[in-house]
Amino acid sequence: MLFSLILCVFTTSVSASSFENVPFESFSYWNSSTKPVPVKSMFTFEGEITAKNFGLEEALKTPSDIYIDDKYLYLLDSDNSRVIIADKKTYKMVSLISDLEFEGETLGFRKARGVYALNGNVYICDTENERLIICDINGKVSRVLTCPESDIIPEDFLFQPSRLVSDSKGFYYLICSGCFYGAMRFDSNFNFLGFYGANVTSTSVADIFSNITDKLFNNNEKISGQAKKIPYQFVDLSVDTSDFVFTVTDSGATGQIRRLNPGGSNVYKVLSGGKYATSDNSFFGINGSIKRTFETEKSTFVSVTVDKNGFIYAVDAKFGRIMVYDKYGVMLCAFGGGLEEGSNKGTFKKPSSIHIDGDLLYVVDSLKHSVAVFRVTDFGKKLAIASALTNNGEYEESKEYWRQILVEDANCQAAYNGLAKAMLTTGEYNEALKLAKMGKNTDLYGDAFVKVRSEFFENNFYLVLGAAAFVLLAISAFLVIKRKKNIVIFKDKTVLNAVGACVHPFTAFKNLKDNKRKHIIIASVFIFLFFLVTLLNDFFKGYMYGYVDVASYNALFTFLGTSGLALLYIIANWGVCSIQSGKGKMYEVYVAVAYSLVPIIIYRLFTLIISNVMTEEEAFFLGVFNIISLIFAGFSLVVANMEIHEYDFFKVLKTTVIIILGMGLIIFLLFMVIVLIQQVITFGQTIYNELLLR
Amino acid sequence: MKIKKIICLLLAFTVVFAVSGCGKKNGVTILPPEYDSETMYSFPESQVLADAGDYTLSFDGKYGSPVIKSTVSEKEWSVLPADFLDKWNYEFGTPISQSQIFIKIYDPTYESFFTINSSDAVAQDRIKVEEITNGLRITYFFDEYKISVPVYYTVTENGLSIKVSAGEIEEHEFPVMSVAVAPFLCSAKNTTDKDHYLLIPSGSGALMYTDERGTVRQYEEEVFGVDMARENKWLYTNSEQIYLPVFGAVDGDSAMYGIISSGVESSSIGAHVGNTDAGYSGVYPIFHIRSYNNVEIDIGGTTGLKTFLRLAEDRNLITFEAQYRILSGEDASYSGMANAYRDYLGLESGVKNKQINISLLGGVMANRSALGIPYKVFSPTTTFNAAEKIVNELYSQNKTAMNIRLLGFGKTGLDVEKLAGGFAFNSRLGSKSDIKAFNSAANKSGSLVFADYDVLQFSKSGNGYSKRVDVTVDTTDYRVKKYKIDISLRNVDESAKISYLLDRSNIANAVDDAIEATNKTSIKGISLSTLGVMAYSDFSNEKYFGKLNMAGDVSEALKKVNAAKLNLATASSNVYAAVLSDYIDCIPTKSSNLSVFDVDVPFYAMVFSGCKENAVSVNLSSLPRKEFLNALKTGAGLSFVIADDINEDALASMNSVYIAASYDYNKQLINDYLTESREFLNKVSGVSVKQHNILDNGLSQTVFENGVTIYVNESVEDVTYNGEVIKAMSFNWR
Repeated sequence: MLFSLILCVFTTSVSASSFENVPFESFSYWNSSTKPVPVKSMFTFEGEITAKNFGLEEALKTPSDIYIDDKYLYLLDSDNSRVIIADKKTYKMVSLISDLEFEGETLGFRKARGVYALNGNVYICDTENERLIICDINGKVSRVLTCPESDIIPEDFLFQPSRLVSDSKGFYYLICSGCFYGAMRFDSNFNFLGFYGANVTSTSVADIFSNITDKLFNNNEKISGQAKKIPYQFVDLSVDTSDFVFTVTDSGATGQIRRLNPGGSNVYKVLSGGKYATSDNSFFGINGSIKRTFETEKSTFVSVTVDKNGFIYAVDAKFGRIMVYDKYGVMLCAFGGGLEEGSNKGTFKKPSSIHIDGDLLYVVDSLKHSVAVFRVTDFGKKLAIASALTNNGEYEESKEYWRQILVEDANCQAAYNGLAKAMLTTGEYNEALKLAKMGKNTDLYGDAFVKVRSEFFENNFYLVLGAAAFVLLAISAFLVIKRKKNIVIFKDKTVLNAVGACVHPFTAFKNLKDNKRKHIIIASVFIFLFFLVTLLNDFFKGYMYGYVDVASYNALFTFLGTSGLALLYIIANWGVCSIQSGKGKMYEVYVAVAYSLVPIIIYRLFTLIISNVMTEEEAFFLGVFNIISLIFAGFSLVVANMEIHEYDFFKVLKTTVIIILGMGLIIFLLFMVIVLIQQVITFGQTIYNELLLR
Repeated sequence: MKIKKIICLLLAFTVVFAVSGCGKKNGVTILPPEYDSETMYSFPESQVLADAGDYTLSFDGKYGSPVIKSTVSEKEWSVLPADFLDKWNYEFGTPISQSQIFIKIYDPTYESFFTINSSDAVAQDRIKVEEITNGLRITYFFDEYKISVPVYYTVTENGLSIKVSAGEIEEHEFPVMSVAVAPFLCSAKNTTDKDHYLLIPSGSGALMYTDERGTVRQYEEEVFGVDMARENKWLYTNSEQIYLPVFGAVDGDSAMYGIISSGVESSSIGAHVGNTDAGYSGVYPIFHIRSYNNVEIDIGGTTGLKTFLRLAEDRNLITFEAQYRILSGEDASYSGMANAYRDYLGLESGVKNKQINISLLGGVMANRSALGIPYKVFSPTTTFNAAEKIVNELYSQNKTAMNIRLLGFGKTGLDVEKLAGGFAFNSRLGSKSDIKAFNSAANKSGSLVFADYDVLQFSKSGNGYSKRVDVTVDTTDYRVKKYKIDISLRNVDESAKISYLLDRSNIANAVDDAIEATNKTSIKGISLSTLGVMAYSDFSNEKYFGKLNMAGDVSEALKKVNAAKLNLATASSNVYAAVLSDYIDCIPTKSSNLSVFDVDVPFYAMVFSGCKENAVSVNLSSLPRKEFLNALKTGAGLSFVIADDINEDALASMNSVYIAASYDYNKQLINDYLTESREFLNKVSGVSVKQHNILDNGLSQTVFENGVTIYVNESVEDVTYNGEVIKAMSFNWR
């Protein structure tokens, strides 16, 4: 209760943590957000396995890996150089493998990192001794595999096996410590087939720039002395029921969890920002400052396992959390914890391996010298059943489960998506639309939207046709009447100039300069519209194009990024051009810049309308229109500068560079002033507090 | 001339302020240098010093140790276990846990704490033993640090009393932070037998078995929770606080338990288990002589914020006392301790539980945006009309009266803003007539309604409480700021709103205001959830240092509710609030779940069973079935948190109470669970628990005073006991 009070009560007067009977809090992140959302726990702590459970006198010492097959549990007790094989139900030890004999030599495997079992064989990844030991459950060694000979293995390659798995076709995948080429793939006779699925390095513009400068200014010695950017190595892997290999890397900015197809390509699509994309660019886990330092810590995944429903369980050593993701990359929950202290039950000091077996999840803690056992809760079971039904296409059957899950945990994002998917396939499109929005799944929303729209057109075909015909007729009639009666819409030439600037920029800006055809009010309206349509776009564009977080949205920033930027440009332009022999006056610059914004304003208004009637795929042309509008606006601006300041084209280019620098300078000065004001306010506050509290 | 005068005045002020700052050094009171490190004392002869009731207090002259003996069972309990004393070898030194007392002191040079023990003092004849009425006073000298600590051991009719007077402790440059007394008095032999264990009052209660597992398992937690006036900006551990200041050790067929009876708010309970050198495991009180705060200062660079310790100016000036009592035979168990503690509190059985209890969630403050301009609006989740409908439906479904708590019905809903939600209901929840209609619907069904007020936390000034003036201050005289913790990082959520704690002297006023606000409505009950559970210091007044007098202050405030003839509800409340409550909601059902604990026991629930209306919260847990079974173990009522409309605002508030509060779901759950347990709950209503036993394979047994026995199986497999099959996650009773 106390914890819960500290944790939550300071924003609300009651909290559910106090009611929770699992020894940790469970949470999730929706759409890769960094704000944790409390959710119901899928697992509860069942107990802890220590040497005592196996009937062993000597305590476990730095256990490092666990594997469970149909009958037995295999625990690699690393620093004791032994593998404990026990009945997986009773934990009664059936065999103890230690001090192995092979060809007259005693094989110890202290500091070994991985254990695996298949068809009566036990595989020990003897990392430090650079070998893979294969023996039976009684410890009779049949083979010791050392580094295979192959042209594709570099000479300096260190064969330090750390984890091994196999698929149903008999291929083995072996991870070696420090190997960034990917996993080593072997056939069923342990013939080396090649490296598999290496992580990729990402190259930014800064990296390219850095490479160029290195080549230009650094000598070879200096370049060779620099750290090379190499891919992160795999630390664990697990094979799913379809023989796809899940890999996990301990660090990296993104893509720590990947699902590799037989070709070694990542096919794991995750929901990020409402859209599905491969996990390469998605961050998994926790990212933030802990222990009140300014340094940001990130999850350090050390092990991964996958169950028959495609749920992925990855354990993070930094925060001690177990993260559960579904097949579609939706985070179901995170639980556990410990922050390397692990004082509570079900939390960790240094988790090293994870394995799921039916309803039980096992996590090895190499510093607690024990294995924590978690059991799936009734809620977790419902989630598994609902997911399995969805995966199998049994949408109708899945509906009731998803509904039940939502009443038990209204924060379950997977349930909104699952139910939306089910509704979509059973023709309840409006419900699907609503649920996809609640589940913040813009892709699914788009699918539902298409169905709803089709339904609308089907039901209202003649009405829509009639309305379209009426609009066309009305426009035609108007044009005919206008021509016949010679109606002039814009009588005022300054207004006409403002409206025509986006079509005839040369004429319009020449008229502005020479004939003083300026309209300050219309220009001001344009500048305001620039801000307004951007704001409207953010709030009212079609949901499938993305959504805005109302709680954190600040219209001031939007203003600064639109009208504010335009005003800043106007001031900088006027200032720079005044000393660059420009002939333009402040109001002329103001009006010209405002007129130049019209293409962007039109584009954004157009987008606002289109996004509410077409999906992103259908409205692919919007991207092209965007570029056209920007080019057109830029062109207008160049023409405006040439006409107003009486510059030639190259002078405009030169001054534009100086204007941009000038804008930077103004921002810097503004920033300095703000900081100064802040300090003065803080000083005043401190004095006030001192006077008040002393 | 004028300027000269002003300068002179300013200088004079500066001198006065500078001089007034002298005399105190870093919060340490400097005592006159009278420390006597020369006098050697010899132990008196072994002798019986006093007797009272069934107990005698003697002094073991050989080892300088007080010994209490029960004349009934002839069992002796020594400050140091007798068979341990024989193998004690002074020359090799002794671990802290093998000492009569140990003290934590502050080293101002290194700004850190360290612990020393009395072993050397005893070994070097530097303890002074003086006879007093019914006992003795032993002064322990710690020469290296020029500290002496007198401890009073007296025998009473009920057992032994140990007292430490903070004012009598002599200290010089090393301030004494805490004194742990008699770590081996309440102890049990190390063995693998399950009838040797320590009772730890963490949350619901937990047992630590006394087997040796290679490493010593240690435990320490503050009674009534960590001081909220201390900065705790990141948390490693999930913890349940100690609600009852009672601890005990069962050593086969005899047991001793202790109750901290004075200075309880400023005490901790500690334990050490499985020490192979000592052969005994013990649980003991720790008295905090001085308070401190962790002050964070940004020192820049990559280090960022660094924490410094800042001590309170004065000691927690009080005489601490722990009373020890001996149990034997059938009573030598945690059940016996619960029964004895119930008697100590003066509780009487016969108070019938309501089987169904509900907490309705009023609403939250929702963030809105008018084209990017943010504003907040109250978003109702249960209006009074909806509440009326819920109450009527639940009553017609279950035909049973309920306790109904209204949570988040204040002006800002569940959000902490003005104190106690502005002491008024939000008008969007309904009109006065709606409130009246709801209340009369509840009364018709025999239900009681409690309006909940958070009278301790606020983030906005109003109703006569200023967030600048009427707030608690820490050891550095700054306002205590309370932050929300980010559950994923277990660190402060800097983006969340900061709240403040009401200064201690205003608590009674706030309760008065809550009573007045309730009296303006037709509702006849007050719920003071936070007041019953939160304890904190206020360093603006020395009587509030170290959380002192919190129990007394809260008790006085709660008595006003009783005097106003209003019903009082609390939730997971500390003992002082629980005994004054008519209804205790959400009683703790788990301990801190620390790795060092072996098994949780329903000690808290056992103490109040049959004597106070109490209930276990069921629906919000990830394991509602387990909570249902937890309630049945002690015959507690079933409590549900419900909202009529869990809208998007409720979900966006990230408040975990909403995730399973759906009315439709809970309506079904209530029906299912009540159908299953109604008969049993009727049988044990108003009856105290006599005995609770933990059997094998996840099975537990509870025997009530009227002979009703329930077996609860919390495992996932059926269990057979005495030929009777108890189904998985189910119960049998007779």
